[in-house]
Amino acid sequence: MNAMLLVQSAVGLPQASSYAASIDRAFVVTAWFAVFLAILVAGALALALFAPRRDGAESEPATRRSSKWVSTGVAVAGALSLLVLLHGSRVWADVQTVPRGALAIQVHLEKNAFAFTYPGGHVATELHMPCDRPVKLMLRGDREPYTFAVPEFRLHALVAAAQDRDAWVAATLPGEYAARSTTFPRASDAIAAATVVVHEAGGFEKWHQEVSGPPLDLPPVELGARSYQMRGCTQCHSLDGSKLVGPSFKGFLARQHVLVDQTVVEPTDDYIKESILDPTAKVIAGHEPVMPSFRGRLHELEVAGLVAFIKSQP
Amino acid sequence: MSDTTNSSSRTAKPASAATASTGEMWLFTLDHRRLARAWAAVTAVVLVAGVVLGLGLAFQPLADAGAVETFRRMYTMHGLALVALVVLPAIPGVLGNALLPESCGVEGMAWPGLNRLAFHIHLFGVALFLVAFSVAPADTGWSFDAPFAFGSASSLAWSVAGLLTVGVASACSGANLVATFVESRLKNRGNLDVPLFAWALAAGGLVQVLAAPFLCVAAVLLVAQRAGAADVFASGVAIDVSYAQWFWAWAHPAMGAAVIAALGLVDDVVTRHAGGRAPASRSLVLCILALAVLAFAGSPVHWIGRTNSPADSLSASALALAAGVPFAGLVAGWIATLGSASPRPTGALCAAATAIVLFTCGALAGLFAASVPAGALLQQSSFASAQLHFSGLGVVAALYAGLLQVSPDWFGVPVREGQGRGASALILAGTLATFVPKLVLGAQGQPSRTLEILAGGEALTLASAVGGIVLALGLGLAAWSIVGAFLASHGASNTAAEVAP
Ligand code: HEC
Repeated sequence: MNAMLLVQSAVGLPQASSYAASIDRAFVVTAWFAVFLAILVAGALALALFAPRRDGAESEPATRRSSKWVSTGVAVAGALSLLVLLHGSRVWADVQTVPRGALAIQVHLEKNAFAFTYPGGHVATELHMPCDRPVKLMLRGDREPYTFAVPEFRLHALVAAAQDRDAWVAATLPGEYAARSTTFPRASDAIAAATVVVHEAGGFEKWHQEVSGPPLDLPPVELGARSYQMRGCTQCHSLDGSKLVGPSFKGFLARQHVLVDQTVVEPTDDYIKESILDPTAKVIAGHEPVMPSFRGRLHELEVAGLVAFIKSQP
Repeated sequence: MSDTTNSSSRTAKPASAATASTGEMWLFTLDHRRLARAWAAVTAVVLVAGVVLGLGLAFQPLADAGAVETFRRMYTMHGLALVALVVLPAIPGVLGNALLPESCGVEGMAWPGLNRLAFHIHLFGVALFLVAFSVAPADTGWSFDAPFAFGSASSLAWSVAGLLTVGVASACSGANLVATFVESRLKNRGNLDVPLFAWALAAGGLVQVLAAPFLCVAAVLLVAQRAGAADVFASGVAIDVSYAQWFWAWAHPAMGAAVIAALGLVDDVVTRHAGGRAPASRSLVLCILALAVLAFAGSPVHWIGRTNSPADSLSASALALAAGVPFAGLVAGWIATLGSASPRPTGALCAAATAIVLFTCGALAGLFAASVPAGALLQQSSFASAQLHFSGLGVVAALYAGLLQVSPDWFGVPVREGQGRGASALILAGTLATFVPKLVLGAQGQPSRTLEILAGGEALTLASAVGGIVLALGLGLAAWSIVGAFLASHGASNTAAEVAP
């Protein structure tokens, strides 16, 4: 029946944002109008051309009695256009007005690849977003125009050259989508694309915490304590002396640190730092070399904080 | 081939094949009726080539064959050939020359020299395109899409020169149409019974002339940017009007002018079938003039409508939607006229009806493209490309209707009725079958100008390609029907010549 929706569900283009349904509704209503008018015009023409002719009609000269009809056509089309415009502008206002309290994520297009900057400064090549919570996309104007489009969200924002623009979306269906720029990129075959991840409830916050870590402006020991909790050190290192996968941090400075080759290392800052960034360089006796390297995964300040925190353990 | 018997040519040169060489007769003639045929021949050849390319484009994504670069060159040639060499210039060139002076009640074009010059410039443009297509094909799309065009490794010089040249030719034609119309008005002061076709050609011509400078600016910007002399994306400019906006400030009105001329032609065919020539009613003239104003007003829309401001988007939407209103008036008027006269459905009338339906589809698709926020979703999608094709093929159908109308005059024999009707029906069915699926695909997010098919879009893409075959058959039959009449007239005159002495 509803051709547009039928085809949509056949192709599987879900309505994955809060405003997708209202945009689709406007679209479908317009589609019905359009199909109706197309059939009306084609039918009327066919009738005028191919209906059996009335006797005597042929000889009657065509006087321009059509003026009345011209005005009717103008009135009908005018009313329809006005309707489309008014309804469209209402939906448009909805799509344009960023709700208050929306989570702000910056979108850049650099060297034909999208980059997303999250609150707290973490930069990723994927767009992660929560479900059912408005997200404000601050689209940064590039030197050249680009588009940020996610069909499932019915989001398609054209960003003019060197002008910033805000768009927003509240995703309603967790899952992975593809964002793309449909503006023809400069001399390159690929159209910029990025994965959009809509998390289940609570998933985004967890992801965001994981990638962004603790606030860097804390005092070193406190920052280290937070990192110890957030970066998964707790899995392998206890603070109370119990032996997990790795040695406990209890009394770190007071303890002896014996390596597998039985040499003893001093617990200096450099040694602790090396243990975090390059754990297999010096392996503690009685343990397997299973600690993952944290090189590149922690901010410099976080490493310094962890060093201070570990040294501070009584 | 008997112009001299039924009309008084301004050139008063007898159309005797014995004394004049073919070149003199067709290439260097000042006779607008002959120029009309020369235009028709050139246009037909380009049309056939462009349609063959189009078929290739429809099947290449399905066959998954050939390189992206080949695909890009093909759609660029297809677009340039059909937009710049067929849709924009054909109706003023062919039927403007064939019908305008008579419609206005004057003997010939106001400036026959300029009229011939326009044709020569156009031929030069065709030659430039031929060089471009054979040795330096562009890969940017007919609109030289930015920023792609700025960095494209392909050579754009010949194509840009070609487009600029035919743009100038169109402006010359347009100026001539306006001048002829004005001259006829001055001669027959106070006499308002000019057919709508004349109004439409003059209005369209004026729009062509006014829009041409934008094309020049766009071409200069494109060349300068590629040469590294200017940076059209440099920010800090008060009005940040970029290259694409200049380009569309030309392309949009130029396309509008072509459609307006086509609508005038459709009106001509409809009124002749409904019982003879009648002066245009005031309401229809107003509709045509409103369309011309809106087509031209559309060019600033391409400045304001492409910024990031929501208010700009709304005003752009309002202006674009407004263009459908006078068009609806015209359609309603034609239906009423045909309904009351019930004329015989000749080939010409069927072709005109095809044009009306195709333009209607284009206008209705415009309801989406022009509305917010749906329009934004459809930008650069195959929806937008389908919409353009409805208008373009509407112009081609109108051109065919006009040719069928003048064919008895040109060839002494009418085109076979069955062929005319059949071709019109096939063009209508083929266009719908090709581009309605593209509308749906575009609504689902299928971008245009890519070999990638949207997941799940294969069936519709195939349907559209099959529709393309029907459309090509229709256009082929249309071309054949005209050629057939031409050959028949030649056969007739040859036997006559043999018998006469
Ligand atoms: C998969 C378990 C695991 C995780 C997670 C882990 N470690 Fe380790 N860590 C070990 C093991 C096993 C050792 C001992 C072997 C070695 O030195 O490589 C060790 C050794 C160390 C040492 C040297 C201990 C000593 O007694 O000299 C330090 C310091 C250290 N880890 C810090 C950290 C910090 C900080 C984190 C969190 C950012 C962390 N580790 C996360 C397993 C882990």
